Amino acid sequence: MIAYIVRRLFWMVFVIFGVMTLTFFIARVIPADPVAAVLPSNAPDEAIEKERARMGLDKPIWVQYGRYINGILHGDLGVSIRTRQPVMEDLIRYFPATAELALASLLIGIVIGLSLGVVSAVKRGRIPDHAGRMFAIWGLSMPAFFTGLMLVILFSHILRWFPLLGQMPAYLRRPPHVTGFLILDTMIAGNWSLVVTELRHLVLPAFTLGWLSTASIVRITRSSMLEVLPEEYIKTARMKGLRESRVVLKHALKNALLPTITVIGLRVASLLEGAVLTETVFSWPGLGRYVVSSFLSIDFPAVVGVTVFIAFLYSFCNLIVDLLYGYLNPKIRYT
Amino acid sequence: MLRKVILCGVVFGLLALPALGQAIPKDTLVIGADLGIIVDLDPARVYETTTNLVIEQFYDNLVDFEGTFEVIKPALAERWEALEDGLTWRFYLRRGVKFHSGNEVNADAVVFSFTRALTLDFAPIWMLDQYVPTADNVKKVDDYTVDVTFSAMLSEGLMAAIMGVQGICAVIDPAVVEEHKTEDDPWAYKWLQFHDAGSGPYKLIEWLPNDRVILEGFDEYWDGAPKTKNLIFLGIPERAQQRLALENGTIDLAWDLLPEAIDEFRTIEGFTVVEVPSWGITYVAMNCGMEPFDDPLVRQAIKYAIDYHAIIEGIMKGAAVVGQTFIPTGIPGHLEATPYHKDIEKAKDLLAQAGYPDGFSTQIMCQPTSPRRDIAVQVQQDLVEVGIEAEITQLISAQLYTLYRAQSHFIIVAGWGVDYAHGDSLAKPFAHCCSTGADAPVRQLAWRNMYSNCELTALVDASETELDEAKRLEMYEEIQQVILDDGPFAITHYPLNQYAVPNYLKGFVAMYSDSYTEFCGVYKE
Amino acid sequence: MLGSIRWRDFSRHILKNRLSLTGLVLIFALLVFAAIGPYVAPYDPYTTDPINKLEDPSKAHIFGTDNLGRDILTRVLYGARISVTIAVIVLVVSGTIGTLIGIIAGYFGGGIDNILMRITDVFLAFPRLILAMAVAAALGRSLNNVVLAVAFTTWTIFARLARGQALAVKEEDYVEAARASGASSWRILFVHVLPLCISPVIIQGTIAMGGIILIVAGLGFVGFGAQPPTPEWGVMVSDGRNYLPTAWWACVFPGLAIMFTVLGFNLLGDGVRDILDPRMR
Repeated sequence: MIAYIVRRLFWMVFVIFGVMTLTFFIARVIPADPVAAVLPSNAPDEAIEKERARMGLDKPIWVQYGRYINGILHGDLGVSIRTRQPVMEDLIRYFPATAELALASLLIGIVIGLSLGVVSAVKRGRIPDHAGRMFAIWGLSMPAFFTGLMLVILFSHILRWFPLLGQMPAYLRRPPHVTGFLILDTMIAGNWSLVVTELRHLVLPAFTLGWLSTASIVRITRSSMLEVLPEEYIKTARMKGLRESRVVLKHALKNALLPTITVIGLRVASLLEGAVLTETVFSWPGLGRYVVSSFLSIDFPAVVGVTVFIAFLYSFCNLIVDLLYGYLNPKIRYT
Repeated sequence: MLRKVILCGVVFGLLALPALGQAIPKDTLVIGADLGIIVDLDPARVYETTTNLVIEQFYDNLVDFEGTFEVIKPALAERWEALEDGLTWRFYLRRGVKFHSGNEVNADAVVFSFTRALTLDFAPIWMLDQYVPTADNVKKVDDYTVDVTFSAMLSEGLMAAIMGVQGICAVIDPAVVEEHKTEDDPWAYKWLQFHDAGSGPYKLIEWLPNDRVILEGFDEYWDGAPKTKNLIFLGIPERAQQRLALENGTIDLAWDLLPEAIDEFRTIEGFTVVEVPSWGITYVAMNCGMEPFDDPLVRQAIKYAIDYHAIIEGIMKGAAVVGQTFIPTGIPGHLEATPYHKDIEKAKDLLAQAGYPDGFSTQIMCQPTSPRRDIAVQVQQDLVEVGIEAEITQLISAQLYTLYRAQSHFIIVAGWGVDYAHGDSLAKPFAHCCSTGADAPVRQLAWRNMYSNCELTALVDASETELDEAKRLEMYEEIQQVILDDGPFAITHYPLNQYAVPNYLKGFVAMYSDSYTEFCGVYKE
Repeated sequence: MLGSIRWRDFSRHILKNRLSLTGLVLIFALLVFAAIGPYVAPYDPYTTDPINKLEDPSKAHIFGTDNLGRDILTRVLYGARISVTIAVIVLVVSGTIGTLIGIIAGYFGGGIDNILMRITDVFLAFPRLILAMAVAAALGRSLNNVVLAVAFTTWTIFARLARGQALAVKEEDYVEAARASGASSWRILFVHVLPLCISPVIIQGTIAMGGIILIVAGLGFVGFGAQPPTPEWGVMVSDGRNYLPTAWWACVFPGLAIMFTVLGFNLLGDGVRDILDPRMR
């Protein structure tokens, strides 16, 4: 087991290195001058040159690359041209909001996905099966930004059930910074009515992203359940006289959960993609918006830093999921 | 299974219940805007209009303006006078004014502020140092009197226009800078990126990048405490969301509404639409260094091909004023002349005369946002009618202005915002160019479009030092006429500033240059 | 297993499944619109008329007009052709590259396999949209670059697949025989291994189509899509969103077009996956 972990970590490092190199060179191919983006149209050339020199962009590319790699080894992802802050600090600032959103989305996706998956398996071939699968696939078929916009208009503008945007109302103060995660900090501060308000703000964006995940969770739950339901021990449980719902939920579902975990790992990537597309819609101050503005303004250090960070996050999540799966499933032996 | 469903339903229901008391409290003003452009709050560094709008609330200058910018208001300086040499202006400071820190605003602070700006030498400094080249030009006379020696004789209007420039001419608290300076950073620009060293009506409490700016009223403000205690700028990049948020009361004012949205608010109960001319000019420019735009007939042809009516009534939907000269309405020197309108026959005729009866191919560059992008598409279609095939290239500012500055565009749709309230801030960029090389002293719009006209350039230089205001305005008119006929710019309109103001909001004054809007006088009924 | 699919069985399963049948119908509709769109469209997709912008859907304009007064139905129809073209080109390009890399890795094994697979891992470590955005940002805004960017992120799917095929086929008797009789590795690759990859690649391609179209739309939405006045659906949704909720048609109709298209491919893909999953039989 240890050997497996070590091997995986080694490859992960190699992959991250490859990611860094690939992104770095992609970012440098661009013929634009990101410094000029930070200054408005009527700034004279001397002003531009001043900023370039200040940013260290006038050095040859190999020097820049070397400095960059060296920096990363010291935990320094460079300095964003646009915000003039260390990219690492920017990431730490924006990451919690996206993490909260991703977690909530995953939760919603799992709850809905498992429910629909179970229903689909139990009522296989009949209307609930088709309806459940259709609902899940429908969520996957819309671009996340479109889903977000439509949900906001329906549930917020027309029905007034949920707030329009943001993590909390504008006029309220954030709780004191303890972890950086808004809901946690609010709980720590003991402000429970604010926690409820924040949860309400979280519903629409989390549902938008969560809906994307339901499709694969429904599919894997359904197929695992279908595999497990005809098994001997299920029939035994039924014969023992246990209620059908108990049979289904306690016995069948438990065994179907294992493959679901692997699927969850894969969803992390799509959650991050979804965040990129929906955070703007909901004015969510997270990583997604940072990605969009960095890419559009071709902020080299931010582009490379964010991409590396996301790749690292994704690889890390995959590693955790793999290990979790191996731990939970006694049938797997890692040599 | 059933229990799970019920549980979910209950949770959903609880969360969906409209929370009580969701309206913004009366002591707080929330303004929705796209805050993505704000990267730095240091006045010596600030350049963009949204950032200027924010720092306007917590910094003061020596002088300020009324809404129409023709009336100069005393701010930190209560009066001023020109000295005998004609180059120096003496400013008499208001007494008893305090910074947010409690320190007094005096001559030392003023001298310090200008010294800091000129020493740091960040990008916006050109607006100041073209007339105030070094810190030596700013001298303390006594504790409440400061002399500023300009490099040329300026009229009061021009002088005030420069001293009123936001950011670079703001007065900063020296004690605060002193407290936060370091060896590498003797002017504390790292600290001022996120903090406040001003004397304005509001204090900066916190800036959360991309998220919000939180301000609180300064009770000891020299002009009285702000009418609304708390001011929050809320970052809402999605325009549809700004519109929805304004309608349902999540915000009190939306800063980036499109003309269509403004139009809707005309008929929504509880709102009034306020409109003032802005100080912008939107134009379509042709690079005279690229064939065939070197031929004035071709340039004229294109000026006659553009459908100005469609742009103003259609794309801008009335949020624009007809105007084809580069000094907009409201600034002294404006030339009222709009000779161009869509005339395909005439355009084709001119093209044929120039030797292009079958048109030609070219490229239009623009930003990826409305309305400029829409204007580019409209122009593209107009050009098709005269036989010109134009390909549109959308570029974000970084790329767009790089190419523009490098004089490597063909046609560009762009805009110009006035930096200070005087014709000089427009004549130079639009008309000053005698050489198109890197040695040119002024490398603004005329230069970027490689329009070299030495006679006109001499006239621009002369207008700058002309002290007789009437004569000066005449010169501006002449310059505008030449550019109108021969220049590379097809100016389409002057945009308007429009606001949908809720009826409960009182005291809102729309400014010509929207970044000068002050919220300290705004309150809710 | 993939290589041994019998098309008749396959089609039967697809047609029996109600969901995948719906998908097939939607895809068919898409292809029809892509083919005949420009001929049946009521207006020109490029002529602007901003004075009449954002008009309500009506008999004259069934989907209303957009922010430059252009008929949305026309532009959606033209957009179908663009979406199909992009998707097909992406599949062809990424399918070719991916398959080549895959069979080389699988067949030659050893160090080459290791390196190629590690490179694949590097590409797979990025969420696809983000990698596509990085490439699109680097290359500049244009339809061609969107195709390249998306292809850049899609080839890995086919590489893995092809590699599996190559590995399976490597040990087969007839391949041994070919080797023994002196055929060069490349010849074996192209004559024996490659043909077996075609079916699985096409099937995998169908499953991947939905995702491809979404990424293209995502790029268009963020700002890296086609240049105006090209009526690409993602860009149309992005433009139209400024006019929500009142002039909702400018955003909703192109959005629905994307939705039904992707839904079609997803439903079909789901049906295909059902068939491939032995647990479903």
